[in-house]
Amino acid sequence: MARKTAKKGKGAPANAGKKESMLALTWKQLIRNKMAVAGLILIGVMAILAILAPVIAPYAYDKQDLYHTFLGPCREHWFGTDNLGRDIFSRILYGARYSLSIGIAAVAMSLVAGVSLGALCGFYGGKLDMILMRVLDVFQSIPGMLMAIAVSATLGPGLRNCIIALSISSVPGYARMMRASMLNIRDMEYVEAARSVNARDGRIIFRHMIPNAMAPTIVQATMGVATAILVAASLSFIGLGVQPPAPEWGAMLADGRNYIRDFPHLVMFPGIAIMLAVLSLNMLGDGLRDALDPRLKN
Amino acid sequence: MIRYIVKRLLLMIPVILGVTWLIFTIMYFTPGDPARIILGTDASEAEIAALQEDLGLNDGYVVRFVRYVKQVFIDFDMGESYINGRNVGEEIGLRFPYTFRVAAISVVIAVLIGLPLGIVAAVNQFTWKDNAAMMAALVGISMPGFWVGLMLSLAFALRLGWLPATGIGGPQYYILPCLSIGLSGCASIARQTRSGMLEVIRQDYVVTARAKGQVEWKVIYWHALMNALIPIITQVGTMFGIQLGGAMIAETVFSIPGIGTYMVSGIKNRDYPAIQGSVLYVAVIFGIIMLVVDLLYAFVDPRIRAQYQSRKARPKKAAAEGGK
Amino acid sequence: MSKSESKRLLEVKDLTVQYLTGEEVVEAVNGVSFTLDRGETLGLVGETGAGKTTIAKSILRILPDPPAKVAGGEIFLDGEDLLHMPESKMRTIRGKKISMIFQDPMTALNPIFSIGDQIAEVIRLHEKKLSKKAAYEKAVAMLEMVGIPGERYSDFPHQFSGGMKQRVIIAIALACNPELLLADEPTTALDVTIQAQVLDMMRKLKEELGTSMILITHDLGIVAEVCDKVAVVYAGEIVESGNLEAIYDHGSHPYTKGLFGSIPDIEGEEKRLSPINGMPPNPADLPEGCNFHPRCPYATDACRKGKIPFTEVAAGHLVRCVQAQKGEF
Repeated sequence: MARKTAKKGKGAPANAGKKESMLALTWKQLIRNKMAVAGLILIGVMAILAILAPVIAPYAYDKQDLYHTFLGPCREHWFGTDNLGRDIFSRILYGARYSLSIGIAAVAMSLVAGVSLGALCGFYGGKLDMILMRVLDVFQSIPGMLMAIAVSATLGPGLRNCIIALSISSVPGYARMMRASMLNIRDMEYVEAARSVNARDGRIIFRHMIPNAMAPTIVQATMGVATAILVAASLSFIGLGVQPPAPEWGAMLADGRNYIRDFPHLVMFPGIAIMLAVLSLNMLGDGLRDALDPRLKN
Repeated sequence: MIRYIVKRLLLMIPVILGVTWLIFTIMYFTPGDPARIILGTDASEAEIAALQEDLGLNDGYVVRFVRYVKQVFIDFDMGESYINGRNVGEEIGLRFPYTFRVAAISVVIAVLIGLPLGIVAAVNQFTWKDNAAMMAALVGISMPGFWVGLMLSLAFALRLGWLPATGIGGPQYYILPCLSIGLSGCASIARQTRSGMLEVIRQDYVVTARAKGQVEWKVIYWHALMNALIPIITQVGTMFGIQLGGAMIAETVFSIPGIGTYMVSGIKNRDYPAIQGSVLYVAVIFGIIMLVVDLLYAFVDPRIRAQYQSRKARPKKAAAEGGK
Repeated sequence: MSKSESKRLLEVKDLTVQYLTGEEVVEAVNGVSFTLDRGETLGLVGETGAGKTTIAKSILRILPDPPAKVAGGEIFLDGEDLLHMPESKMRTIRGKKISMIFQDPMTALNPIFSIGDQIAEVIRLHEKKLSKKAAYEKAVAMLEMVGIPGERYSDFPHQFSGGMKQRVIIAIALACNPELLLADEPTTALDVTIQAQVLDMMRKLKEELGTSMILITHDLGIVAEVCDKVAVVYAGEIVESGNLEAIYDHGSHPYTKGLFGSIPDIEGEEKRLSPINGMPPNPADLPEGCNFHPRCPYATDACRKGKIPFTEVAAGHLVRCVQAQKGEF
C-alpha cells in the first residue's frame, strides 16, 4: 500500500490537469477489464430498471389478485405471482429501488463519517487518535451484522433506520482504512511541501491528503455497497429492516420462505436478484482495485 | 510470550467494559417497557408499576449501568431472561456447544475448499483455472448466506429428502447449516489465499527453493504458502470468531438452538438481559479469538515472534553483526 | 580430443529466450553460445537488463514460465541435454550439480525458516541417505565454512545483516558440492567492504572444491579478480568473448571499449570518464543490424543491416563487429 500511495503521490501535487489524467488512466485500466465492464453494465442496467420501475413494471408492486396466487412463471407473470397474487417481476423491479438506495445511502453516510474520523486521527495522531481508536476497538469487537441488528432493534424497523443501522456498523472500517493511508502519506514530501508554505491543516487534509489516500477507500466503498445490500436483506429477512408489504428483496424472501416447499419460485427470484446486484458490484470493485493498485497488475 | 498474553488479556478489559456500556446504552434507549413485556398485555397498571420498581427500571441511567456492571463483573451474574426467567449465563452455556460445533465444522469446510482453490488460482494465474475459480468465488461471496441455506434445504431436504431441513439432532442435522455457512466462507478464503499467494509466489526465496531442486508442490505449499498464511489466518480467525458469536441468520433458517437464535429472539422480544449477556459473550469470544490469531502469527512468522519476546530477543539481535 | 571432451563441463548453444507480455514478444536472450571447462570461471558482463540473469536461469530452468520461454538452443551439462530433460531429472541437478547464488541476499532467503534448516533442506534433498542428524551436522559445517558460528543454526534471516545472509546463500549453493556455480551479481547488494570479504571467500571455496563458475556482474573489477574468461553481453547477445587478457587488454568491440572507458582509473591519465552515449535498446524493439549501432561512434551503413557474425580476431577471441570483420582493429 505504501508503494502505491508513493507512486500516486508523485503525480498528485494538486495539479488539476494531472489529476484528470490519473482519473482517465484509472478509467482506461478499468474498461480494459472484462469483468469490471460486465459488472458496470450489469449494475447500470439494474439502476436504470430501478429508476424506471414505474414505467417498466407490468403491474403495481402491491396489486393483489387473489384469484391468481402462486402462479409459476408464465407469459403474464414472468417470475410468477406470490401468496397474494402479486406479480413477482414487478416487485423485484421495485425492490431494486430499495436495495440500491439502501446500499448507496448507507455507504455514503458511513463513508463521510469514517473518512473524516480516520483523516483526523491519521493527521493529528496523539491523544485524539488514541481515544478514537479505542472507541472504534469497542465498536469493532461486535461483528458488523450483530451491530446492525442491535441498532435497528433500537431504532425500530423501516427504511431510514435500516440505513442508519447499516452505516453505523461500517464506520469503523472506513475510519481505520483512512487512518492507515493517512499515516502512510503523512510524511511524504508533498505534504511537507504544503506545510512548508504554511497551508492550513484543513487544506492539507482535504486538498492534498484525502485525495491521495482515497484509492483503497473507493474500492472498499464499492464492495461496501454490495455488503450493505446483503446485510439489509438479512435484516429484512429476520423482520428488522424494511417491512412488508414493501417489496424489499429480503422481506420477499422472508415471506416466500413459508411456501418454499411447494412454490420455490417465491424464494428463487428475489435471491437471484440480490445475488446479481451484489455480484455486479463486487466485479466492479475487483476491477477498480486492479485499476487503482499497480502492485496487483501483473 | 506469557507476558504478551497477559498484557493482551489486560487490554481486553477496557474493550469489554466499553462494549458493556455501548450495548447497555443501546438497550437503554430502545423503546419498549420490560415490565410490560414480562407481564404480558393483561396485567394491571399497578402490577406493572410494582415490577418496574422491583427491576429497578425507575432508577437513572448511571445507577442502572453501575448496577449492571457490578452484577456482571463482580457477581458474575448476567441476570435472568425477561421472557422465561432463565439465567442468561447458563442459557448461553447450554447453547454454546451447538454454536461451537456449527462454527468449527463450517470453518473446516471453508478452509478445506477455499485454501486449495485460492492456491490453484494463484499458481495458474490468468489461465482458465484461475478465472473459473475466481468467478465461482465471486458468485459465492455475492450470494446471501441464508438464501444459500434455503436453496440447499430446498434441494437436499425438501425435494430429495436426504437430510433434515431444520432442528438439531444427530450429525446429519449439521450438514446443511455448516455447508451453507462454509460455502460463503470458502469463497472469501479463496480470494484472500489467491491474493496472498500472488504476492509471495514471485518472491526470490521461492525461486531459491526451486533452485535447490525442491519439488514443485513443496515449493508452493511449504515455502510460498507459509509466507502467505498471515492474512489467511486473520480471515479464518475472523470467520470463526463471528460464527462462534452465533450465525444469527443461518441458525434462524435451520432452527438451531444456538446463540444466534437466542440473540435474534432476544432482540425481537426486547429481552434486555439476554441481549446484553449474549453481546458481551460475543465480544469476549471475539477478543479471545483475535488474541489466538495474533499468537498464531508468532507461530508462523519468526519476525513477529521476535517482536512479542522483544525483551529476550534484543541481546541476540545485537550479536548479529549490524542487525537488520 | 577425448580428453578435452571430459574437461568440458557446460556447453550453451544458440540459446534464445523470449518473454511474452500481452501481445508483445520480447527477445531477452538471442542466440547466445559459450562453453565452460571444469574449474574455469566465466564472467558474463553487461548492463542491467542485458539478459545475463535470464541466461543463468535458463541453465537451471527456473525461468518464470509464463511469461518466459526458451524458444531455441541447447544446453549441455557433461554432455546431458538440460533443456529436454524431464523435470524430475532436472530436479536432481538443481542444487546438486548446478546451484545458484542470487543477487539480493535480503530477499533470497525464506524469512520464516531458520537459516540452518534452509541449508539442511538442500542437503536432504540431494543426499537422501543422510539422516536428519547428519544433515544437521553438515549444515552446521557449511555455516562454519562460510564463517558463521554453528550455534546460529536456528536463527532466522531477519537476525542477520546483508553480508551474513549472502554467506548463508553461498553455503546453500555450495552445500552439495556443485560442479557449476551460477553467481548472479553476488556482491552487488553489499557494502564495498563486505563485497571484498564475500568475493574472497567465494574464490577460496571455489578453489578448494574445484567448482566451475559463471559470474554475472556489471563490475569489471570483480571480473578481473575472479574470472578466466569473459563474455560481454549486450541486448541479449554476446558481442565479444575471450580470455581475460584478450578482453581487458585487447577489447575490440566498441561496446567493450565503452564499458572500460566508463570505469574510473585512479592511476590513469584521463581526467574524464567516457560514458557510452544513449540507453540500451528496448528489447521489444531491437534495432535492425547490430544492436549497438545507434550508440556506436563508429557505426557505418554496414552496421545497420543484417546480422553481424562473430569474427575470430585472435585464437578464442570472438568479436561481433563489422570493423573486426574488415580487420581494422
